[in-house]
Amino acid sequence: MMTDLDHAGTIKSKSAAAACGWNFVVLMSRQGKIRLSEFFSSYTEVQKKRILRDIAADVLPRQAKMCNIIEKGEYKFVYRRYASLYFIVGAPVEMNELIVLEQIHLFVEALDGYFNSVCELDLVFSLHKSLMILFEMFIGGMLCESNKREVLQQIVEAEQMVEQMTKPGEDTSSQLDDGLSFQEQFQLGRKPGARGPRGGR
Amino acid sequence: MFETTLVDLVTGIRSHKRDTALFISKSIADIKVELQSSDFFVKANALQKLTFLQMMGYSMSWAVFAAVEVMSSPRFALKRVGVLAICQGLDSPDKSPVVLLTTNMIKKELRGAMVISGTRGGENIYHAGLAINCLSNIVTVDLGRETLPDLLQLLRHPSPYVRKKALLCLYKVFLKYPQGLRLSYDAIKSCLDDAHPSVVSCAVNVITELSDKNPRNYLPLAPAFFRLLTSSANNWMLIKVVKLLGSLVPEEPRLARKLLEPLSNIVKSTHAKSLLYEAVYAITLCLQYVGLGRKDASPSNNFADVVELCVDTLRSFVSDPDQNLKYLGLVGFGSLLQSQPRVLYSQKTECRSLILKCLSDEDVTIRTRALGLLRFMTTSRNLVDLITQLLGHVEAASGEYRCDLVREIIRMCSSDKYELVSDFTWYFDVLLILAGVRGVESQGDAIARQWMDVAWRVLPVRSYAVRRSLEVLVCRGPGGEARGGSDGSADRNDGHTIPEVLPAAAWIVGEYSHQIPDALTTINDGERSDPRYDANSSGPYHSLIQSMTSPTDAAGINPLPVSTQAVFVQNAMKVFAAACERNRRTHLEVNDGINLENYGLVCTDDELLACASTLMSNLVVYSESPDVEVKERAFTSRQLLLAVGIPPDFCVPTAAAAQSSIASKCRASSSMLVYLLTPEPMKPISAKAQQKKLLEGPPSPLSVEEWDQDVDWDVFPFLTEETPWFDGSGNVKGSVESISFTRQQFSNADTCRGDTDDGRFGVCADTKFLSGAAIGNASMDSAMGMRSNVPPSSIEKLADPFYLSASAPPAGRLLDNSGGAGSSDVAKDAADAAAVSRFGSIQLDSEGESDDEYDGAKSKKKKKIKKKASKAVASKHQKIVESDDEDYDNNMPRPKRGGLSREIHNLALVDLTTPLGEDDVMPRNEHYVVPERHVVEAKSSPKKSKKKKDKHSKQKKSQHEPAHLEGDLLGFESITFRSDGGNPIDSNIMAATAVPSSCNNPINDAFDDLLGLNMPQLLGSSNSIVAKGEEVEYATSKKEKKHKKDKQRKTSKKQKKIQQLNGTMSA
Repeated sequence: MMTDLDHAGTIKSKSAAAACGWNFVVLMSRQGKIRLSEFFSSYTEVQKKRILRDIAADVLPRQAKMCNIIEKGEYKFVYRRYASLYFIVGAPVEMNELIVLEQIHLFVEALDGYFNSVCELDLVFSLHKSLMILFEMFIGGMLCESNKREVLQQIVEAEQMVEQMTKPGEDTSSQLDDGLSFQEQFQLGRKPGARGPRGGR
Repeated sequence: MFETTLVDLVTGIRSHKRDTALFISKSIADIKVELQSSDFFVKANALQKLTFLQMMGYSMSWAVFAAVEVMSSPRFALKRVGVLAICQGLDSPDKSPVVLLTTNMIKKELRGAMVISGTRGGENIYHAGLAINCLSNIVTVDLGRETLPDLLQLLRHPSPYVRKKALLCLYKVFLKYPQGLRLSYDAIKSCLDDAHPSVVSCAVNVITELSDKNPRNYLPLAPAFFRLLTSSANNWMLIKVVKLLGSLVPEEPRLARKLLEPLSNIVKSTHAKSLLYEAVYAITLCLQYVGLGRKDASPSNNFADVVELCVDTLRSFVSDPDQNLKYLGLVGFGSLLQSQPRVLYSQKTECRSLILKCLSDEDVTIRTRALGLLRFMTTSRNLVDLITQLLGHVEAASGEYRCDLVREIIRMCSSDKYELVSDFTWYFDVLLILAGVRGVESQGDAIARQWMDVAWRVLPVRSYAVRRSLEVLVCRGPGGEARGGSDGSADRNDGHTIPEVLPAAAWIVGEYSHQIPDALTTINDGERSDPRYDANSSGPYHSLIQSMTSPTDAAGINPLPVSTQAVFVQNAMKVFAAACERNRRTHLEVNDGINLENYGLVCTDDELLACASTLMSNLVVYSESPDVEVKERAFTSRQLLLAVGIPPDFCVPTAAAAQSSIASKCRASSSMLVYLLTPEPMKPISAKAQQKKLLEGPPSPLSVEEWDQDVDWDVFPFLTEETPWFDGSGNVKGSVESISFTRQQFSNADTCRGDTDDGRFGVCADTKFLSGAAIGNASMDSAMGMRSNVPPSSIEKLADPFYLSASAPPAGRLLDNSGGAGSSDVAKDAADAAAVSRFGSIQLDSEGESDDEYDGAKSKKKKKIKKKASKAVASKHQKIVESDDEDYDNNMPRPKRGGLSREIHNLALVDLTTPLGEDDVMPRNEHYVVPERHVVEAKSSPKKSKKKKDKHSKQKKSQHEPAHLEGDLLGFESITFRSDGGNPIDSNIMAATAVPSSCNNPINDAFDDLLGLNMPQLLGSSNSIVAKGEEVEYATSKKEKKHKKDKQRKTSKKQKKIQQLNGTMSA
């Protein structure tokens, strides 16, 4: 976007029009509860708080008929609502809004495929899994793979590794070898458990 | 030990609705215990819970170390928990020491991915993926430098999964470690030819993102992307390619013409709205540059088609029921209008009505965008209509949008020096309505500026402006609001006025106070309206003065801002001066038997006296103000009134005789007051004229006689009166010592002698300075402020030379070197220049615009717009070309966003156009090998001054540790040099210490002197010899000599050794 009417109404010039990664993504329920939040760009705590407050103030009260874009100066909120859950993405002003909407949908489809018709409770109870899916799909806010099937396949494959590696009842203390504490092993430059009977497989 | 799982935690939080905080703090305490456990599963579980709590807003930075521990686990499941915890919990990776600990783990994982065979071969890529995820979240400068080679290695990994991830992660690394970009650019470029389409997509992604920071670097890639644009079918990637090419256009305008065709092909063929929009948007960008590439070439014939295509597409967007498309259509129009501002004029009205419809959309985002387009659609014909509608919107709108509306209204009307406005009375009313709107305080200044601008530039509406301003001011009073509905101000809602416009109103009323009677009679069909401030007001002048000098506002509670108070005080005085003037004129006219009715308003004695008494009583209050400006102005004004002859404790009900005498005094002094306060009408001065004067520099010093010609001495009658400023005994009244710095009060009793000769001069200087300064009010005030310690009883205080000689030296200096006098002269000259400049008053034709005239004007306007647009684009283009490096610093409106903008800035500084140099090598990790000898390095820096210093330090060192001499090779050269220049060993002792051979360099001499002075003391103290004078000197110098010999021997030995060494090396 070479030039653009900014919020103040004056014409300002931007360097170029290329940003194509998210700044942050927040999943917020209709009641304003945060279900997941990930900031890809570096924000300070204060900025994060303000963004979350802005989202609650700007996005939640909007009606269905309104457009899904809210300009906030340097970035904009692009959001999509699924049932009672809002997926809010902070994207650079230059980014194509429709693409962001598509990406959100792709993420939801991946969640849906993984949780088998996802609902808000799924996300609440397995935050780490949804975060993991997010990280698999987006690196530094940029979409890694646009093919839904491939995304799902990778996630499932990784998940299988988890399954086979966490067998219930496994003797976890066997991971630690020769009675050294972790700190001691660390100081020795060793990976704890690396030479344990079952740890190193 | 029994641990709760994440599920337990979540259900617990949900069931403890009442005391959630208590439950959570209990859970955190549990987690802390669990993190102490040696069991990784327990730790991982605790971290998982903590990650959840972090999302709820609780800090977990204290647990990052545990996360690193868990991350080091070989188990994928545990590792993943640890990575997640680090990614989420680490607030500022740059400051955290924990990141250092992860470096080796991440490196190991990245390298592990290269091991494809074996049992873990398939899993390795997921471990690496995890490490990349982690890296992209916590990367720091050091981490980036360390992992860059491994990431580049992964770009050649057989699995596309890893290649993609590594590629995207590289961008995050570059943000922190921009130096890495140059080293890895080739590897990224090669990924564009990857067999796997999604890897290509990622490469495009990264390059697009990078080119956002500094497009020039990526111009050589344009052909490759052009090929992608015409061949690829992947919409996800095409959008990015289009975006990237669009961002390259400003760098290479020739690209714009090339791009038009393939882009319009995409527009015609694609069904994906997102790609469609992106392509149209890129076309609008290209259109801005099409004309710039080749100036001679006229726009090709498909040019108009392309514009047409854009307009059609965008119109279909705007008319789409989908709100998002509507929004994007408006944004696209905004971009199109930058290059084609006439599109909306020439197009069918359909488009315009569509956009106007968007103005009443319920969505603020869309309304704001439509508002931005509005000024491209206004003509002088529809302006009134549009603004009237917008005013209705202002009423209905709220929040930020309301301010946007006000700003846009002002912008539309004032654009191109009020090109579109034909009726300024109407515009003034619009401004008045805007000033009455609540919640647009942020626009108050803009409204006030417009208000003043219109009043002083447009002569015909000046009296109307005065009248309106008068109403605004007077309606602030307790009686004003009640009448607010009945008289002229009915259109303003409940008498509210933004406080920011009050100074403007006050200034208009004050500056054009001579027009007050005109304003009150001529308008409103000759019917005289007579606004009153409150029940005590005896006339318009009095009402005004009451309004402007009452220290509280209408509600009687919140005081006005001090800047407003200062303006009020000044302008209340102006109004008073006008009142006196009016009174005198009517008075004279009565005497001359002229019909009063022609002159309208009469300022009676009663009113004049009421004005005076209000001023006297209220100015006292103001002169207690904590604000210096207000205090100064109020005090000065009050002293001026006292000088005129109004008694300090004056109030209306005094004897009739006294009243009439005071009134006549006022009348008598009116010319002086007017002369001082409103010497000549102010004129708008263009910034250019002002600048020219400044460039010329201050004019040559003026003599006192020259000043004389400008001053109308008749208005200072008291100067000629025979009132000495000495008291009876010949002493001056008042003294420097009587000035109180904390509280302004009248100096009394203290007397001191003064120099009469200086005093005489001071009189002239004073008054002349005054007359010069009176051109600008501000300098006038400062001039009067200098005399703020004037004794009140003396009518001569203005002429009192004491104040010049004692408290106001600047005034005297002014005439001497004329620096300051020059500046006031500049102002005067500039005012003269303004009279002939194009910024003079706008003269309006009273006839209505006929259609023919309008058409002619339109075509002229078109031309003007064309010229302007091309100029605008050109300047914009230039700006962009220049600013690609410091863009982020220059862009004022860009808000700060943590460290991100700095990162981007650093990344923008990277230049990829120059080839890699010798020193551009990949950072490598090697053990630090202690070099045995720096022989070669020592030879490479033979600097004279340094040598001396080295020698100095060496001498010191040798005193304590002579054994180290062997290693001190830097000192070696100085010795050899010296042995060439002379024989210091044989020279006398003092010379050895002070002057070692090199006398040709004065700096060296100085340095040697220093040495000679310093050395004995230094050595003496170090040896702790307690002796006196020569003895010490002798002892130390003796020692020195010995050491020198010692050194000499050793260094010559060394020299031989080195020569041998060099010999062997060359052999």
